[in-house]
Amino acid sequence: MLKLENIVKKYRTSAVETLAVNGLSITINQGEFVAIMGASGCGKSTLLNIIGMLDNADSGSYFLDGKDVSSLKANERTDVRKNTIGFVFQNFNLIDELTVGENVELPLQYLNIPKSERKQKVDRVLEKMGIAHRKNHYPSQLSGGQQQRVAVARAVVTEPKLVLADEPTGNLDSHFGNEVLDILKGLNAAGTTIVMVTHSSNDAKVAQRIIELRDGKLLTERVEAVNQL
Amino acid sequence: MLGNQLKVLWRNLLGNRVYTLLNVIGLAVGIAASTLIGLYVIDELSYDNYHEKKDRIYRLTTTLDLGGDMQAAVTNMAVGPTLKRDYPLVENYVRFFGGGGEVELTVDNTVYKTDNIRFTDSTLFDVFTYEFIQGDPKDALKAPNTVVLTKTLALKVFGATDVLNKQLKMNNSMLRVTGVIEDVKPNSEMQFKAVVSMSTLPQQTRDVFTQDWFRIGVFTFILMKETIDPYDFEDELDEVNEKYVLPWGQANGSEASHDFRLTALKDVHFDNRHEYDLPKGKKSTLYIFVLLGFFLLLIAAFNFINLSLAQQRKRSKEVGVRKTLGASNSSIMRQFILESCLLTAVSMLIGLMLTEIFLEQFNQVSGKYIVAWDVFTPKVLAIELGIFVFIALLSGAYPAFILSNLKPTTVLKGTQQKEGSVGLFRKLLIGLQFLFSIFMITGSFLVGDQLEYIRSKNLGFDKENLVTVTLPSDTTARKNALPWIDLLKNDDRIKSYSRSNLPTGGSPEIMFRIEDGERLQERTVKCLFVDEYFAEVLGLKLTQGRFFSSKFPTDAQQGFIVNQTAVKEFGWEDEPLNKRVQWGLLADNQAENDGKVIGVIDDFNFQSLHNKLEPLILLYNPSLQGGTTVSIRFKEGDYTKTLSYLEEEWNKTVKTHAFDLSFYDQDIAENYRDENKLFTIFMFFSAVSIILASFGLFSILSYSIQARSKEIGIRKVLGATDVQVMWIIAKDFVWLMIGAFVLATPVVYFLWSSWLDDFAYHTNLQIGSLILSLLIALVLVLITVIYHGIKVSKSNPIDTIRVE
Ligand SMILES: Nc1ncnc2c1ncn2[C@@H]1O[C@H](COP(=O)(O)OP(=O)(O)OP(=O)(O)O)[C@@H](O)[C@H]1O
Ligand SMILES: [Mg+2]
Repeated sequence: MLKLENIVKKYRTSAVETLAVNGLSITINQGEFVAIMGASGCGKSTLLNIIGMLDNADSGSYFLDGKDVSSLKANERTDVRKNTIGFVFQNFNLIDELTVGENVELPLQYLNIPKSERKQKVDRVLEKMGIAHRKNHYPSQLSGGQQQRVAVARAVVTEPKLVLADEPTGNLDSHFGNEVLDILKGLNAAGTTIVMVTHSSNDAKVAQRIIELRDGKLLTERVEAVNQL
Repeated sequence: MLGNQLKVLWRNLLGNRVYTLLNVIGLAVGIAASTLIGLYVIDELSYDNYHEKKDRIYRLTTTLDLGGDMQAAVTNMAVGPTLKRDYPLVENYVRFFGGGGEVELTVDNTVYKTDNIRFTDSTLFDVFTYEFIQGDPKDALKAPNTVVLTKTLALKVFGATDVLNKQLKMNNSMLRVTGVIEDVKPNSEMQFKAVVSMSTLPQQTRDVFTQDWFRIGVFTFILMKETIDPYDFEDELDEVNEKYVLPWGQANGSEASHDFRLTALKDVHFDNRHEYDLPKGKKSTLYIFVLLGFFLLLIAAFNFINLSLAQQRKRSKEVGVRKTLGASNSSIMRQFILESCLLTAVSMLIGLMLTEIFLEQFNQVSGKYIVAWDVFTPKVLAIELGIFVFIALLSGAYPAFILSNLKPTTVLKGTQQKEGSVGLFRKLLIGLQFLFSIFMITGSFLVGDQLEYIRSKNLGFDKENLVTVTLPSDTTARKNALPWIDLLKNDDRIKSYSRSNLPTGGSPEIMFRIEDGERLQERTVKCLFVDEYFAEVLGLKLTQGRFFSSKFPTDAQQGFIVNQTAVKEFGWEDEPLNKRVQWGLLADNQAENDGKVIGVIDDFNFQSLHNKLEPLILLYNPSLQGGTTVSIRFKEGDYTKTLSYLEEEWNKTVKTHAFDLSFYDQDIAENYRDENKLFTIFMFFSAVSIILASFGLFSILSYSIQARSKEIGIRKVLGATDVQVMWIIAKDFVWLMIGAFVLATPVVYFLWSSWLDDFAYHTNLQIGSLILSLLIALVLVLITVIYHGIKVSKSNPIDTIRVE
């Protein structure tokens, strides 16, 4: 599915230079569920943003579906992104001025899907996430868990091949957290590739593979046996 | 506490340096522009308000019925004294005689050309108030051959102001200086550089103008014993008509009558219903100016208010913290109001400075004489104070009120505030700004269109390669000019020339009798005395009959040429030729000149296009001793060399008088000075208003984008393209603009149509220019949006949605 080779990403501020990702190479296969772990500041989010093409690496190459995407122009990246990738953010990033339904509909709009089809897809995914009755509410009227489910719904409504989730359970108590994990597990079972950043080794257990980073480099990689059972 | 608040204010201002600067300067420019316009309006409204007896002074005008009504600004000489004698309420009168054309003053053999010298009664200084430097107002103008000079003229011809009893020659008569006064204030209707006693006029002239009730030519002002209602008193004036005018008419074979009217002095400046009047102010222009000033101020104020409201979002956290630390609502209100007062005050100071700096330029364009000190009159200062309070309160109190009532917890939780009522209010302000801008852009187009229309409108004669030389009024000098005129005959660079008394401003109007069915009808008609070359030189088109010719010497007494309008108005459509015309009327249908129409010419616009075409009769005068002008038509090509040759020759032959040249196109342009003025002012201030509105839009957009950066980031992550992102930013504003356009159109339409109605010939409001102004406004929005849009699209979406 995707292959990163020697990815380097530096942040330069006036005084210091931070090596957020330092020559990292990984390969993730179609249908995998991968968890990325590591201490705060080790470069997890940066890596995820590069995978999601929200950010450019300074050097290294990136193949997505066998295509070299590291040298694409901004427009082309937007195009690839909206067709193949869904995002779930730690802080939900819902648009406050739009209702739940409208938030979820947004990526479909950008794919120019006709209105009736959009409505169908939105209804279906909200149903699946168990928040259909909240469709006309605004994000601020929802609990944290509900908001996160909306965020997941928005990420998967286009049925992307790859879902990237940056600490999707970070803001949730264990009950809501588990709900979100269950949803991701379900998606994965249906064939979606999932890359999830998490601090919790408990959460990481749902993944088939765990990648641990330190200072922007790969520390260990282990296959989670639990999931194999 | 205050120190701490000021510190926060200072840091805030520094933090938003660009926007603070833009908005302070914007407000200052708005204040300066509207102050200038305000000064203009105040000046227009302050005409003659410095006379001590202003509330009791009225101007006497008359509607003459001479087979067709004519409202004249002037009366005959008798009516003033008659009123004083017959009506106890009338305390005094003063008359002004003489059009104020050019005269020659000679002091110690040096000739000074000057204009605006009028004959007037010795009562002048009893009725009106002028400041004497030398002399005694009571009897300054009592004796014949006395003159009172204004300071400027005294300095020009004598080089001093203590010139009592000195002699000077005006044209051909000697005058004694009996007084020197300060210059007549520019905001006075009756302008003069000097006044000569009425008794200086030859007895014969005075008799003619006094005895003939229809020989009108003096401006008459009446001083009443008390303030009166002009309408009531006008009724009483009917008696004058009964008692004097009608009997005189009967005795002289005329059925004409007068209907006298009074206009309060304060209303005279805008009373432009009359013929033979001095240039007047135009109310519709004044209204447009008031609106312009108001809009400019509002646009700047709205920017300022919008800025404060936009800041509110950023400030809510500060307020929350202050409140948890114990600040009261009122102390927070105080803080915000203090801030806005300070900023407004700074803008105001800069604005007043700008006003003073641009005063000179403004005077030049507007033709006003506003001085620096006028800004500090109580009236203007009171208005400025009003503006200050208005802006400071709205920009400070409104956000202060909203913020001070916020619950600290909501603010501190950092939950984003909704784009609720505040957003709506701000959008409304921006919408109004657009509305004003569109009004002003269309206004500029319209005034420009009208000017262009006037310029290109067919005048009925060919104004290219045509110049006019005005001959001296001094008889000896005019005789000296004759050899020079002979030169024109033999110069092959000159195609032709013609002598006439063709005026460019107005035209003499005399009483004719014209054929009307079976009888002869009396009526006044405009006329020109011309020689036989006139039609050829001006390029007039003869449609019927023939032009005057030296082969028919009888043309001088018996030949008349009329224009098309005369044919129509006299009801001669079927056969204008050979209709009977008389002038120099005597009793019993007799006249000194009695003859027939020998030709008809196409209408030509010899006046400004403010006037409708009027009937015109051309009179033949081959010798033209009274001719005042020579019109010269040059052959094709550059005629500047020929002109300078002519000037040299003139100076050789006519030593005492300078070569007085005018070009037709310029003369006509002169007539539209007012419109040109309006156009320049309008163009300039529209530009200012558009720039101000763009400032506002610029800062509002950047705040709006800041506030929506997270949303924009999310949309980009979800696949929105740059264009889609820009549209999200621009959408609201584009709709606002279209809404403003829809609302502005009727306002624009009504206001500008009423302005156009003042012209006899005018364009209409072009849909094209309306749409063009909308496009200009839209382009401005788009430029601003694209500027910000590029910044947004360059940024990584992830930067904007990252939560630290
Ligand atoms: N825009 C930026 N400018 C400068 N430095 C940055 C920027 N973004 C990230 N960094 C730095 O790069 C490093 C990696 O950041 P990243 O956000 O990827 O860490 P993370 O592993 O996701 O941490 P956390 O677990 O706290 O989310 C950190 O040291 C961070 O300070
Ligand atoms: Mg992170």
